[in-house]
Amino acid sequence: MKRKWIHPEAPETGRQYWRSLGELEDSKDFKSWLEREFPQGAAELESDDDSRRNFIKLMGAATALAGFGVACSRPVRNLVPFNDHVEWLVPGKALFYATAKPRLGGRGCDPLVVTTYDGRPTKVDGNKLHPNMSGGSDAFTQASILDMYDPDRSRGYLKAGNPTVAADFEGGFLNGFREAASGDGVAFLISENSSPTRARLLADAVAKYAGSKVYSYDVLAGGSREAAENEIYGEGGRAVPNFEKAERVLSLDCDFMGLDKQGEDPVAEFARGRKVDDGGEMNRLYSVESGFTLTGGMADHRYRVASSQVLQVAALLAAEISGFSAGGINKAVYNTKWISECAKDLLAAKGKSLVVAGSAQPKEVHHLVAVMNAALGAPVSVVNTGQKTNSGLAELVADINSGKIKTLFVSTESDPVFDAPADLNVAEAFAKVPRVVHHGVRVNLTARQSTWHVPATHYLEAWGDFRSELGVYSVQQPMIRPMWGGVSEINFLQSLLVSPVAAVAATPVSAGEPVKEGEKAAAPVAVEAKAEVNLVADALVAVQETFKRVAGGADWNDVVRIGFAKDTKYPAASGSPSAPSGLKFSDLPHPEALEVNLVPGSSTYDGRFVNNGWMQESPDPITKLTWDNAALIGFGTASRLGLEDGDMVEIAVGDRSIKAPVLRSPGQADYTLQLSVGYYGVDEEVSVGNVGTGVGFDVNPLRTTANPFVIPGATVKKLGYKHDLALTAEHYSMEGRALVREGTKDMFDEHDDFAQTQGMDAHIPEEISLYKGYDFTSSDDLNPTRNEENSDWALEGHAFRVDPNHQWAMTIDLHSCIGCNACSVACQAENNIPIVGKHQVLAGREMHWIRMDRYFTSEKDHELISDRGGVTDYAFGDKLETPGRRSIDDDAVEMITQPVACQQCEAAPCETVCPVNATVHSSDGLNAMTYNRCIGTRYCANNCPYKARRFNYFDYNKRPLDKLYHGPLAPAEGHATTSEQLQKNPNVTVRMRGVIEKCTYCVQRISKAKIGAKVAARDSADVQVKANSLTVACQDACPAGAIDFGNLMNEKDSIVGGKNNPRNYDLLKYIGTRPRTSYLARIKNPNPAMPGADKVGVSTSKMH
Amino acid sequence: MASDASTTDQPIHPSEAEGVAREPLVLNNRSMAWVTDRICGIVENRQPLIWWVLFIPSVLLAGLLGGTLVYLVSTGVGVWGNNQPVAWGWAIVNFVFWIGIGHAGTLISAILFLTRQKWRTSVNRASEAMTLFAVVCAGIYPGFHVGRFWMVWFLAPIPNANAIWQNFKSPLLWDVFAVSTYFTVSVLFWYVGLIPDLATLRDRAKAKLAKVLYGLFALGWRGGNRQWRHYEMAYLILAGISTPLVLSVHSVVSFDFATSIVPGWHTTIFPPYFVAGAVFGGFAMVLTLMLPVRKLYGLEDMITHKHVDNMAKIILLTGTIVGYAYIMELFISYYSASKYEGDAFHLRILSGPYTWAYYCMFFCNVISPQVFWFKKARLNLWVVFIVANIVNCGMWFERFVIIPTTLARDFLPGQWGYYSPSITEKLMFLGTFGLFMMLFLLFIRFLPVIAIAEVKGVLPENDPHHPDWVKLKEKRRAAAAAE
Repeated sequence: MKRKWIHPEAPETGRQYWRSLGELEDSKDFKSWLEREFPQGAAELESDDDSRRNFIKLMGAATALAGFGVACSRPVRNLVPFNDHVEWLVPGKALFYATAKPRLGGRGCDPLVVTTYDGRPTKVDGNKLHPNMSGGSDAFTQASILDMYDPDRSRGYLKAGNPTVAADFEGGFLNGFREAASGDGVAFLISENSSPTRARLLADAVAKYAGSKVYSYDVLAGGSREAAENEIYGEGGRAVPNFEKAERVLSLDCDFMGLDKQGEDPVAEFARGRKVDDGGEMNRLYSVESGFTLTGGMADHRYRVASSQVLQVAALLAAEISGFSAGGINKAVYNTKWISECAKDLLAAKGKSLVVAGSAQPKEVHHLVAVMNAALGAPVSVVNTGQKTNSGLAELVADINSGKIKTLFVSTESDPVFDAPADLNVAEAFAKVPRVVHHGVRVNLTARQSTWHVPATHYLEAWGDFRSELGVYSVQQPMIRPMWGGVSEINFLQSLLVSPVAAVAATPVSAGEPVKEGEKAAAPVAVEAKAEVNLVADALVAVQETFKRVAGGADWNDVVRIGFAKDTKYPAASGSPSAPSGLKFSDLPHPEALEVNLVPGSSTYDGRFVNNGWMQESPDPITKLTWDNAALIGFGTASRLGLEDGDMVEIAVGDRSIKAPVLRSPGQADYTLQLSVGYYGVDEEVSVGNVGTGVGFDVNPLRTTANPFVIPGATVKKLGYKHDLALTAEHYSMEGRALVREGTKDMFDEHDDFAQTQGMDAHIPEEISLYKGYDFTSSDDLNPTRNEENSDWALEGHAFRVDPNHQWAMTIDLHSCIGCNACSVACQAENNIPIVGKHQVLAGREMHWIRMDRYFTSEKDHELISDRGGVTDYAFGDKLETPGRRSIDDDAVEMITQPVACQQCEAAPCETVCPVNATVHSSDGLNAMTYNRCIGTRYCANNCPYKARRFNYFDYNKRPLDKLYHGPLAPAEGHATTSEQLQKNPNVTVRMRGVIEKCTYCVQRISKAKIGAKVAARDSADVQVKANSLTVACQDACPAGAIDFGNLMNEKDSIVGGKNNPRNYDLLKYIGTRPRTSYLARIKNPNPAMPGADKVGVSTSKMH
Repeated sequence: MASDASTTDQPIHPSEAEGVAREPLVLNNRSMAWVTDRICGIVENRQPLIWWVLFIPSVLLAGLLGGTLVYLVSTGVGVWGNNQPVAWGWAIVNFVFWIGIGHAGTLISAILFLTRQKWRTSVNRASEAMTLFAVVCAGIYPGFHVGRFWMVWFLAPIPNANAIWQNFKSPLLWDVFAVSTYFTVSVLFWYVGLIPDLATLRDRAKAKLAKVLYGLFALGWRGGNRQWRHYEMAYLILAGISTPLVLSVHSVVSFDFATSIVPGWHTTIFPPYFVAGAVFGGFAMVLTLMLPVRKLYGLEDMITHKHVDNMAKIILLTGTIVGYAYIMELFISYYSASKYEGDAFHLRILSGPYTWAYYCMFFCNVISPQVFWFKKARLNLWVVFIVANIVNCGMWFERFVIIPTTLARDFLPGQWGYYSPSITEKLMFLGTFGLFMMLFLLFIRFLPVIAIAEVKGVLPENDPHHPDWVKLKEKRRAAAAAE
């Protein structure tokens, strides 16, 4: 029962006190105000006899019924009071803390803000306050939160693969090792990252254990770029490109916007440099690459060439740009016109031209890039990180084999026993080391083979610090106590140096303060050192020590609150690049010697996300493949080799071979196969957790130390059976429908509203319906439905339907969107969207509320890739006999992406067809979905032209994904009902089976903002949410700032400008749904002198 | 008068007066007693072996239907093959299929009754029963295809605590009303027609239980004039009510598609096209059932070649209307110049993944009935039976072409998909056939398959002026005199 507020009665005698004139007069208004202070219905219950009687009656009846039905009762659940809670916590309200994580690839870091509810981190976003970052993130960052809750993480110590306890490790190894303090034969194998504290502790460890040596290994760290930089700028010198300042960018096999990030915040910088609306100069991107990447998809001119040939292209470019003498190249097989026009264009924009090369490219290419950048005066900052370059895995194996290593500490994100180059035989080598101590988050193959395994913490569970590429110091602070009792890398190093209990003896430390709640820094709060938090507190001491050294002047509390120390940066370095000599050029791949390119997995990166369901189900941005990797192959090559999608092949290089399915991909260089690393293969024996086991194909046997990523001389043999590939989009072409509209810079300059007449928009007949509906966006006070032709009767009594203060809308700028999936995964995290598993994706039941529609276009749209079943011969022209030599026309295939979520139509087709009124329009313009009213007829999904509605075919949140078909016979606790439940956003319903769901424009955030505005407004009528103060999850996540969301009724809101942008168009406007989400057309900036320039960016200009 | 008539040259019967020799509706000059005996005999005698051979598997299949429904509700709609973009699969295909079959019965019983087509009398009872059983099978699908079966009562306009009404704009809700109305009226119509015959069975019944039960359902029928007067009025009124329902149900079902915006569904031609298709498919199913029944129970004298011939002609007519609709759809999509419409039909007939289904449909529904232009084909019962079954398949394919294949290719090519049914869906469809057959066999077993009273009404014996009857009477008299 709700407690009722009893108003104190006025004393009968003496002075009368009153609090307002209303009370004095005892007016009717005051009385009703008094009553209204309580929840609706509370007062009625008291004043209205009938209701009260009814209440008693119903109670009696209900009790009686309950008596009859006592056989069934719900399980007893207890509410536990939150007595001992986190500081600043208001139950139900989120707290936001700043932290950071190392960036994938080992350079720089991602400064973050983490949303926590009741001590549970639920969502990760970029830190908008950071000076060099936009606040966007990527799919991996978004999905990393799920890894923290992953129940398959390492949950305890292992001794020779068998569970043991920390004390056993300390007693059995650590104490003795520490006391012996001997560095003889001690080796550390680490992952590169930018943490200064770790570097310091590692240096201390090396000093304490004199003679020990540090090696580093990451699957994807080739080290060639760093090696070139070391040679040019001295050890620790690093070149950091600035894409914002670059008007011409040439990417040499570098997916700098996707999986091979360079610079502080490349996507945001590039997007800012590409802005067209303010009339400024728009940048132009050239891309030379083998298979499509996100970067290649954004490129204005893309040159399709095998990865091994990038060196030749770079040399030819350098010859034009910096006078490099590139002898020995057979120019006939390269598109020299492309190369020379590109070089000319770069030179023409001297000082604003930038060349970048991918990390998989050899050192020589990076030297050539440095030479070109120097010649072009490229916007590249060179800094000295002071980082030492460690030896690689090959040296470690050599040292092991020569018997030098006796104790090996492995603390790398990779799994060397599994994913090291095949020729190193790491498993065999590690077996020779007497003591291998593995420290990691996963019990992977290395962990199982090691003498000891120490569980590591997730980055959200530990103190630490990182520096961005330019050296801005960021603090990593824990959001939660280690879920499974792991030890952070810093703690681990500390434990080698000194006994943990001794270190923390009397050092009071202060914890961080939330960043968004309250602007002023609160006084430091002392955390009493307790035995159980020793390790965590210990790391804090170490981080604070580093902090003092790096950013001595800054206030620690302030830095922890905002997440970084503003004025920190690396010192500048310099060096003069010199052209490499003695370049060895390789032959073009051909049918007998194909080239295999190994690239990071768009879902698994190097394998560390292999057990992350969100990532596994996040479709590859290019191929739309989920839950697998496949050998991507060009259409021409596939046809030449007689391969079709899903065909299993054996790919052999020398005596090493792998099996993988083939998937044809447009724009792939001829005679190349592109495979992604990071999958453990179909062998169920290799257990990597519930999600990742048995997924994908292991490509590591093809890797060698000499050719870790680009492997020449491969042959392909068809195995004669097929593998099911779970693609979320099986169609490649827009089929002549102007869905993702694009134009060129020239078209834009001529008619900036060119997009509004593309497609069938020019043929839309006049609306001749008698009923015009409401004009939701008219801001005519309380009667906003005024519409010229509306008669008054239509309005009467309907004003409540329209909120005069808020009408929400969204624009998605296709010009900036790179198609990276960050929005999609962010939405998954924010809105508790389940994963459905490979089988369900194959069945076409993925649940993403915002998806990325990807289309390929080319001149002959239909012939090219009209259907995946058809034979396609665009790469199969008469010039095929001399592979490599082809006109750019053959290669003019462009990739365009379009994020599609519910468009929140004003005239929503879904609403009219729902028989039970489960989807209705809200007063603020949302197409609302009422889950508990939905019976699941799915008619709305059929009638949605955008196919934005998703149906819960099974209890995805309740049942294990491999037992969906077992129904109630499956246990009601799946992978998602244990620890991963803690990730759920408490403000969003977790949907049951049988209901439709879809994008809600993050209605929970809207409601929160509206309530906030109402509370702040008090008695005034100013209940409008402040302009641009409300963001939705996809918008927060977008690294390119392509998504804008706001209130059409507030002129100060940026959305109003977005909607008035001449590039703005509605998707499928012809069918008259009046969507609230609209798109801004994409502009390409082709160089007219380039071959095939007339075919760039015009794919939709002639469409009807 | 009758004896006078035989001696004058004046035509005394309209058919003779017009000079048209009408084919008798009951052959071989069967008497009323024979009609009663023959029809009641089906109920009263032991069923032939073939009845059991059909009945037992039907019961098993109906049980299978129950099993698949339990699995469906307990596990989720995911046990079917539906997906995003094809959210409706076989369930709705089969719903429309069964509902379509349920059309011929009421058409025969109501419209042909109102238009005084006397040949209807020997086929109306069975086809009405078929209608009811088909609607039962159809009704299972929309009820169970929803995601939360236990919330299906939200579709009923009953007051609830949240004061939420149904969405009266939704064709699905119209469906609920249309189908339930249709079923109710059809049951009533069928039952009212059964009353005199139930009384006959009651009077002939020997077993106590049968007597009681038939008596109970015969509602005290004594066959008095007053009762007949009321009966015929009630029957006429129900026929009047049923007639618009024949047209409305399938029109409303077609609105499920026509009022949507999906290219390929959004077509004004749908209501007449669906009704014609339903009549077409319904008659095919009547023939499929009646031809074997006629043979097995020796009803050739009552269900004659004339009936088969008439129904074949209706199939030819409606099949051609359906063919016209198919071609008109293509023309309209071309003529509309709408990209999406044009593509929808282009994909349907030329380059889509389900082109085969379109041509299956076209062959079965438009080409195959054309043999009925030939009288020889209409009179060959094997040809009629085979064509009727081809049409049954064709009508199923029509719904398949309309529903999943359209959804698989709509506005955004990035979301194009493919649908194939799961084993559960297939078993469930098989199960509805089991249920249908089971109900129909039980109907044969327990109720008169032909309306006894109505057939008697079309016997020459019933009309004292009928020349046949006059001749027959003389013949019988002569025979008596000779004796």
